[in-house]
Amino acid sequence: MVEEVLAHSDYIDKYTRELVMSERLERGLQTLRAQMDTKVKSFFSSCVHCGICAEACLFYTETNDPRYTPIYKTEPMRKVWQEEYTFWGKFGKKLGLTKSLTEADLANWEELVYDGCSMCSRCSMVCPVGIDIAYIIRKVKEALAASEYSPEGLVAATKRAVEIGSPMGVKLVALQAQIKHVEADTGLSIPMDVEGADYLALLSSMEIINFPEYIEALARIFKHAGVSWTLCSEAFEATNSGLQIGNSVVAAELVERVVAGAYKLKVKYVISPECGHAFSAIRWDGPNFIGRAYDFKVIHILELLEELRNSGRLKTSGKETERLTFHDPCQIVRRGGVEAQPRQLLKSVAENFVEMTDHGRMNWCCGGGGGVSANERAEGLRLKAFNRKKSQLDELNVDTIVTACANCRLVMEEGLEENEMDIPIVGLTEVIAEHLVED
Amino acid sequence: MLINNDQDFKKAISELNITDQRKLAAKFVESVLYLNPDPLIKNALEIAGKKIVSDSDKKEFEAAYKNIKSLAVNTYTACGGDADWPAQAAHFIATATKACLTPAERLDSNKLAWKCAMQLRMAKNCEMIESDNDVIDNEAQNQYIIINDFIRK
Repeated sequence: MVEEVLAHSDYIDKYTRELVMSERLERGLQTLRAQMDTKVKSFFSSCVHCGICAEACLFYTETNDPRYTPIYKTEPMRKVWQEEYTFWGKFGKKLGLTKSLTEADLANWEELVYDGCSMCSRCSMVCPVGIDIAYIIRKVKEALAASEYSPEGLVAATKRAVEIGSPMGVKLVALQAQIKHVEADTGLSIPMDVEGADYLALLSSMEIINFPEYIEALARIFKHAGVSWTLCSEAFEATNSGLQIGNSVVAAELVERVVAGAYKLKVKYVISPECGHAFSAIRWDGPNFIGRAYDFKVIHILELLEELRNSGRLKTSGKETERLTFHDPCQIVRRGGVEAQPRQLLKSVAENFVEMTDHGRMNWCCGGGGGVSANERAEGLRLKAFNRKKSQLDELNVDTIVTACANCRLVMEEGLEENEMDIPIVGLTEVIAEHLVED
Repeated sequence: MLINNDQDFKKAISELNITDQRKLAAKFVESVLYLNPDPLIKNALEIAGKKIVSDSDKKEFEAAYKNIKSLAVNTYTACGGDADWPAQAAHFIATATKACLTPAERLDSNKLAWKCAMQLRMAKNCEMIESDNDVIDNEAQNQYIIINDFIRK
C-alpha cells in the first residue's frame, strides 16, 4: 500500500517538477546541494527557532520586518536540506506535502539576501547554539549567483574585477598617477615591484579613488618605521567581488592573483588595507578558496601598525583633543579578530576616545558591507538600517568618528548626511600618520 | 619669504586667521573651478570670502555649508561603481569647497586652507588620470604662487 502511494507520488512529483523546472532554478538547486557541507547540515539540525538572531540584525531592528530575520534569509538552503536530508522532509516530499524551492523563491531571496544582509555576522555571535548564520548566507549567495539572481551593480563590479583587475575599473595607470602625485607632494618614493621586500601592501579601489591620502599615510609611516615594503603592479587590488557576490570560483581567481604577485616578489607578508571584506577574503577565506596554504603571512594594516608601535619603531607625538569614537568594521574586528589593535593605536594619539555602547566584536554594522553599498536598489533599506548607528552616535555626542574601512567611511558619510548630522569621519592610518614624530 | 615647499606652505596657512584662510581657500578653488561648474560651488565661494557680521550672514553661511556638504557626499564614487575620473574630480572640488566653509567651532579650522589645497591636488590628479597625460601638472606649485600673492597683499 505504501509503495503504491509513493509510486503515485513519484509520478505527480515528476510531472509537477517538469512543469516548473527551469534552467536557472536547476542551477540554483545544484549549487545549494553542492554547498551543503557538514557544517551547514549540523547548523540546520541545531536551529531551535528562537529568533534571537533577529534582535542582533540591524536590518530587522530598524524595519521590524520579520523577513530580515537572519535565519530566514537561509530558507532556500533550509528547504533543500529538509527535503533531502531529513526523514520527514523526504517523506513529505514523496507525498507531495512539502513546498519545494521554486524560481520565485530565488527571486524573492535575492532581495532579502543581497539588500538586507551586510554579512556583518552579528547574528552568528548571538546564536545560542553556535550557528554561523553568515556562513550559510554566503552559501545561499553562491546559489543565487549561479542562478543569475544577483544585483546588477554587483554583477558589473565582479565582471570588472575579473577583466580589469578592479571592481571599480581602476587600472594600473590610474594607480601610477596617484603614486606620482603622492611622490611629488611628499618627496617620498612609493616602491613598486621590489623583489625581496618584506611586505607587499594591497590597496582597495575605494582608497585609490576616494582616499588616496591612505597611500601617502602608508609611505610616511613605513619610511618613519623603516619598513621594507612594495606594491605589486600585477596584484594591487585587495577587494574580492567573488566573495561579495557569492562566487567562489571568481573569489579564488582573485586570491590567486595576489598569491602569484606575492610569490613573484618573494615577500614574507601581504598587508590587507583598510577594507573589511578584503581582509576576510585574503586572510581567512583565501587558502580555502584556492585549496592550499600560503607561503607568506597575511597581516592587517592595523595589526602591523600596532606591532610597529609596540616595538618602538613607530613613534607618535601629540594627541587629538576632540571627543572621538571608533567605528569597528565588522569583517576586520568581529570576523577578523583585530579588536585590540585599533584601540591601542587610537589611545596613543587621542586623549578623549570614547567607545560606543556596543563596540568591538559586538559592534553594529554601518549597513553597507557585503556588497550592499554597491547595490543601488538597496539604498533606501541601507539608510534605514543606518538608524542603528545613528542612535549609537546620538548617545555619544562625538566630534569625530575614526574607522578603518573605506566603505564604512562612505556609507556612514551618506547616513550622516541623510540625518543632517555633521561629524567628520577619518581613517585610522591617516590619523596615525598625522602624529608621526618628525625626523 | 617665498613659499615653495609644503612645510612652509602649511606653516603660513596655520598663521592666518579663519577669515583669511577662507579667502585663500576660495582662491585655491577658483583656480580649478573648471573641474566642477556646479553653481553651488560658485555660490559657496562667494560666501566663503565674506566676513560674518550679522545673524543673516551666519544663516547664509550655514545654508551654503549644508548644501556643499550634501554635494560632496553625493558625488563620491560608490563602492563597486565604475570609476568616472571627471566626476571624481568634481567630487574633490566639492570637498575642497566644503573645507572652505568649515565652521569656526571645529578645532581643526586652522588647517582649513591646507585641507582645501590637498583635495584640489587630488582633483587635478583625477584630471590627469582621465587625460592619460604622463606629465604632472603640479597643482602644488600653482598653490604656492597663490599663497605668495595672497600674503604679499
